[in-house]
Amino acid sequence: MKKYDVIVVGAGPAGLMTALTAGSGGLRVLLLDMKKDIPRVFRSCCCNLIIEPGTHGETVTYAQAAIQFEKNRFAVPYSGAVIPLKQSVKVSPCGNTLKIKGKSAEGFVAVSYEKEMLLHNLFDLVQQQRTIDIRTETQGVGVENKPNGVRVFLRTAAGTSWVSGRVAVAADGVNSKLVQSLGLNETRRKFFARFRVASYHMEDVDCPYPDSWITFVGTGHTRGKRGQLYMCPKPHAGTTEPRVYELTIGIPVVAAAPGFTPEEELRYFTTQGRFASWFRRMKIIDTRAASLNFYTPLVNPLEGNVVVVGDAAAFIETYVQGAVMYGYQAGTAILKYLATGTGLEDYAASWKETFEYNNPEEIMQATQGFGLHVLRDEDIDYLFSLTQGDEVRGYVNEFSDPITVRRTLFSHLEQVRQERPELAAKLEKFTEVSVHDALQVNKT
Amino acid sequence: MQIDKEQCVGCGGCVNLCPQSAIYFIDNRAVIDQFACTECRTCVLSCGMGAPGVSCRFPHVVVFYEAP
Repeated sequence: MKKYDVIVVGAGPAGLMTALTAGSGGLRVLLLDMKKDIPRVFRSCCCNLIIEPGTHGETVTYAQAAIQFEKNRFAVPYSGAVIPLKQSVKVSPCGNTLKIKGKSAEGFVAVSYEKEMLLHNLFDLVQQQRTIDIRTETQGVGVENKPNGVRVFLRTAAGTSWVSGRVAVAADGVNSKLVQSLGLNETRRKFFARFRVASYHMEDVDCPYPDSWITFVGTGHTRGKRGQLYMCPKPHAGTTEPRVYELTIGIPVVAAAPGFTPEEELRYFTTQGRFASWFRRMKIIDTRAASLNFYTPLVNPLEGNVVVVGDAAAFIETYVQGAVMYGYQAGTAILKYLATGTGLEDYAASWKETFEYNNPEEIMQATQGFGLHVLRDEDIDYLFSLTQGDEVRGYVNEFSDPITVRRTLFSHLEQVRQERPELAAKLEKFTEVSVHDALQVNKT
Repeated sequence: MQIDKEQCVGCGGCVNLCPQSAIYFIDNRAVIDQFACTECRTCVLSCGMGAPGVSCRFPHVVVFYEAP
């Protein structure tokens, strides 16, 4: 049986980039994915290019049909279209808003792009590497460290088998089967909640906030009174016309009270919700879904000769750009390791230093921003009536956004104290909101 | 459990979450191995589309024993 240098399980942005980096360095790579069409995206992914400097310890820009990683000094081609987003709009149940604009007058808060096009571009490069073998409709279900390398267990429609290599890469996403098989979820990670997600891609939406990242805040947007809704314009099939919007909902799973499916909630939101008028003419051109587990990140994304990259190691997710960046770093580290015997630690060290949620403070910060979701709808309506005209500047970025929101609300604290002292007290307690409360795990 | 192919969008969430590894992909859509499924409902609680649903566990067997 052929023995590979590197077996990469999962061909999303992290796996493709790891395979590409290792393969172009001359290593024999096996790349596996359970999908038949690797570059196609069936999962919800409302991710934009996060342009705030320092995100994941990197500064990412889009220029010359490529996504540029300044600090790591590499670029990946992106031949699709982009939509620079001019503002981030948070909408309360009654329609009041908190708007965050770019740092400068012509600045953007993020750049909307098409993940599928990026995967196509990366996959094209992978296919050009003769040292990379690709197997589709093959799922990695487990991995074991062996004295001279690793053994990866595979399953296909035809049955199970295994393949050996020197290094395995778990790039199989947020619900990683490989991480699970190593026992790391039980021993190293704290589990918060499971979310199920669905999204629609729609044409002919009458959106009053064009070129915006829109977050619908509060419980009143859904029939089941829980869940988080996001919407933003997305390039589609390489163009920006006609305008396509992606509307996504995530709902925490409460086994005892399953409530409505995300798809049912999307249907409700677009036909009967407060903003149904935006969707009167809309046509659904694509439906996607996902299932997310919220864990604390892996403390060490290495286990023997298994390297964990991308969402598989993260707190829900790294941004797509983070998956590409960590894939690049992992590929580089594996090249060094197989040449010299050391090097994987370089990747682990970079992961620990740059992935924000490895810092408990960051989880706290994010939680305090999510604190919005423990406010009652009428509180949010009231608070957003105060912020409607505010000139707020910032980015779409889950790490800095909670701080921006908190700062904006706190700038009205005096007025809130006078008009709604109870709410002011609640606001000041934002810092005490637990992650569980914020994720509404205990709410039914 | 069986998956409604019309409802499934192929996100793969259930594939990785299935504790029995009973779910795999054919043509970018999830399929449940009826002989490995233990009806634990993990896939039901993870699916955004409501695609997995209860149906007869062993349809082939039932058909096999139908009166001629």
